[in-house]
Amino acid sequence: MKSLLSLFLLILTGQVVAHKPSDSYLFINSNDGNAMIEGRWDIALRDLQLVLPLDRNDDGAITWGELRRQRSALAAQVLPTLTIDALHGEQRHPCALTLTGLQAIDHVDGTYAAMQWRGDCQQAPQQLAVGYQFLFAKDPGHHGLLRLEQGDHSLSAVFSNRHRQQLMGIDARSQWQAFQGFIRQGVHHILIGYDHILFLLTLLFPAVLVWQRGGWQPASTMTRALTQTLAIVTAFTVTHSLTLALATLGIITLPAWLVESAIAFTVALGAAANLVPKLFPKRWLMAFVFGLIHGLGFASVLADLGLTDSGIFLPLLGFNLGVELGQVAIVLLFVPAAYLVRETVAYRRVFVPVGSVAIMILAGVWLTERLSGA
Amino acid sequence: MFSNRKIETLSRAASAAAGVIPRGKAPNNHRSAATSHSGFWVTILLLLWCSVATARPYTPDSDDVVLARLPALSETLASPAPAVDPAEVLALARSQIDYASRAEDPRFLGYAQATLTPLIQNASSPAAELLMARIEQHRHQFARARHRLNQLLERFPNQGQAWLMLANIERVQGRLDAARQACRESAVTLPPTTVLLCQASVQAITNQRDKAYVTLQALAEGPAAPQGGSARWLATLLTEIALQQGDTDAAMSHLQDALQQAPQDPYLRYLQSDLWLTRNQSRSVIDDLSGWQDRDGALLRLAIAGQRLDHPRAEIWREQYRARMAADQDTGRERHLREHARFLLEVEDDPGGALALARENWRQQRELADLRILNASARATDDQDTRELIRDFINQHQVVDSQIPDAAKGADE
Repeated sequence: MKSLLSLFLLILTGQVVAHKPSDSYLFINSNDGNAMIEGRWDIALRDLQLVLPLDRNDDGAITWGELRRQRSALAAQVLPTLTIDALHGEQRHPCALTLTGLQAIDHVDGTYAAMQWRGDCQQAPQQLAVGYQFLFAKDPGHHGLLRLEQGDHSLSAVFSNRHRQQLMGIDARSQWQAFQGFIRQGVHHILIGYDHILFLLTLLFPAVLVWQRGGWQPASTMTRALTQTLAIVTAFTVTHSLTLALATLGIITLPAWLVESAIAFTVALGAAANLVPKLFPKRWLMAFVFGLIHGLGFASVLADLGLTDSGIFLPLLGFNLGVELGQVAIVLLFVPAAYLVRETVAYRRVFVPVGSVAIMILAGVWLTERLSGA
Repeated sequence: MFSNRKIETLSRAASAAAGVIPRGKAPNNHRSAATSHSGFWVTILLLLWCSVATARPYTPDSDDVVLARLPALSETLASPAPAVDPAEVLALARSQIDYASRAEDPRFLGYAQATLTPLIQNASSPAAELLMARIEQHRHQFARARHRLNQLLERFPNQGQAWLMLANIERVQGRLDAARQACRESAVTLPPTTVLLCQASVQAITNQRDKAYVTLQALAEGPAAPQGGSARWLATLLTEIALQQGDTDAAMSHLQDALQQAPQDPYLRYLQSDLWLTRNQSRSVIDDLSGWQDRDGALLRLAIAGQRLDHPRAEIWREQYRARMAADQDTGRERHLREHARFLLEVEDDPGGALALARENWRQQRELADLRILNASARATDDQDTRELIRDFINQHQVVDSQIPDAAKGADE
């Protein structure tokens, strides 16, 4: 009779079961051509309690301290229930996932653990095969809600007891879109690469000037200023493109600390050349030679994006194009402005020398940091 | 780095809309520029499209900050020692399902499913199959539950309870003839009173309603008045029929009988609130349901009552309900569309949205309450297609209900 009673209960209450069923929220971020992926996984504390003894003191409450102390258990027992493989053509690389951060986050039905993670896939994925095994043994009604962000695109999928694998098709995107992605990366990296920008600007400071009678004088014509600018920029572009390609193809390999230190050194030298221009009469030559070093610096970024294995040509071209576009933007902003103020004493006597000294000091600091960090 | 920012932007926009105030310290304030562009529409879109991110991560101020409280029965029902004896397994699963219904906590349905898994996989246990069907029905997986019950009944046609459950599913889905048939079949093992209640629950919707009411009343007042669960079911049916007849006083009186036996039953409590709402007693709704704000059904009624009274918390209830509905989307589960449609119609003043949900709901569920919300939305939008569909259903099954003008008369036919 008791079971009959519960049956009536069913009929009476079949209408609503509120609260919320168990869901976890999994975010994956994958950047074009990048072998590193990262993301966040939010799991309800109630659900975690089923697999980890969070409530150590059995008081029915889970505190931040109790959660925090389980960080290594989360990394060792929970994160491995998520597997991500990067598919690239016929190849399949498992991405090594590591827990990089632990915080709390509030969702509509309470507080969740927010686990930040990173995955090293060795190769930029065309597709991701995601496997999800969390909690199904304890709660087969559990779902994992996956959201993959890639550039401007996003895909969602739901893991359930019956669907524990999802193949996320990044490859649906065209080559052209991927190419555009590399151009954007190139622009991005020149714009955030302050040492490259500083080097270029340092060389361009005097492009609107000529060294005469022991001091900087305004260039007489626009043509003269433009010729100098063009010579510097072209020389820099030619050589850094060359070493970028050579390094990306693996023909040249130098340790990062050495390249980074050398870049800092070139910035310092560029600034010195503004102060004692007699020692460095041909600025385009300086750009040409030091461009070789900066190209190696760009290459390390491109290598971080995970392009060292296959399909190098398009990414390389796109990335380089992006770098040049960013560089042109900087030149277009700086040179006309400098040309307009080139006749002022403030520019010639104050901005150029003081700016150069400041850059020299800054570059010196970088140099020390990068050498000591090695 | 870029991508993290994107997640946070998303989360923050969503949390702003959801009115969620994150506790503790926000660690990444220097990134706030990333969110400045999120306008109203972005927020709405994000809520619908990415309901998952309702807030952004934070690091609590101290180790002592309590992040979550576990339900009281967690220890015994959520992760109990695995039962070995089949009788124990069934008893545990039953307690878990009962708790899920009582507390309206669907996680316990999952725990019950895990408990039952060995029995379902290994041997043919009718009792385990019945419990699985209960779980599926709770989850609104009607097709799956029906399939399971039909398979069970092919092997064990004498399972009265399975017939009773099948009757209920058929009734909920508007297949009234099949429901009547299943009620009849349940007589193989179930007592006559139960069969009578089963039949009355189907008749109640149709022009047999008044006859059923008389029969049920006679049963309630007679010497053979049922006890326990059956008595409660009886009182509930009487309440629903009185409500259909438009007699709210009688409905309230029957409801008190039912509530006396099960004061914490969610279905009865919500029925009571709905009665109060039809009688413009919104204050009583707020007094009664304020302690249940973690439940969607209560929150919906609080939002309706709060809005009618211009209550200071009305906006909060509305936002919370919105956020929960948003979180329910794209989870790959069957949703409670009927209640969401009612929210859109009564609280959000969005009859178009309500109609869309009510029509979607109608494909799954065809109880009187489903017909009522479908009808109200169709009238509010003057949607002729839907009104035609409603008239067809009413004519086919001779539906009578005081709340649906097209079905108000005809009880005498």
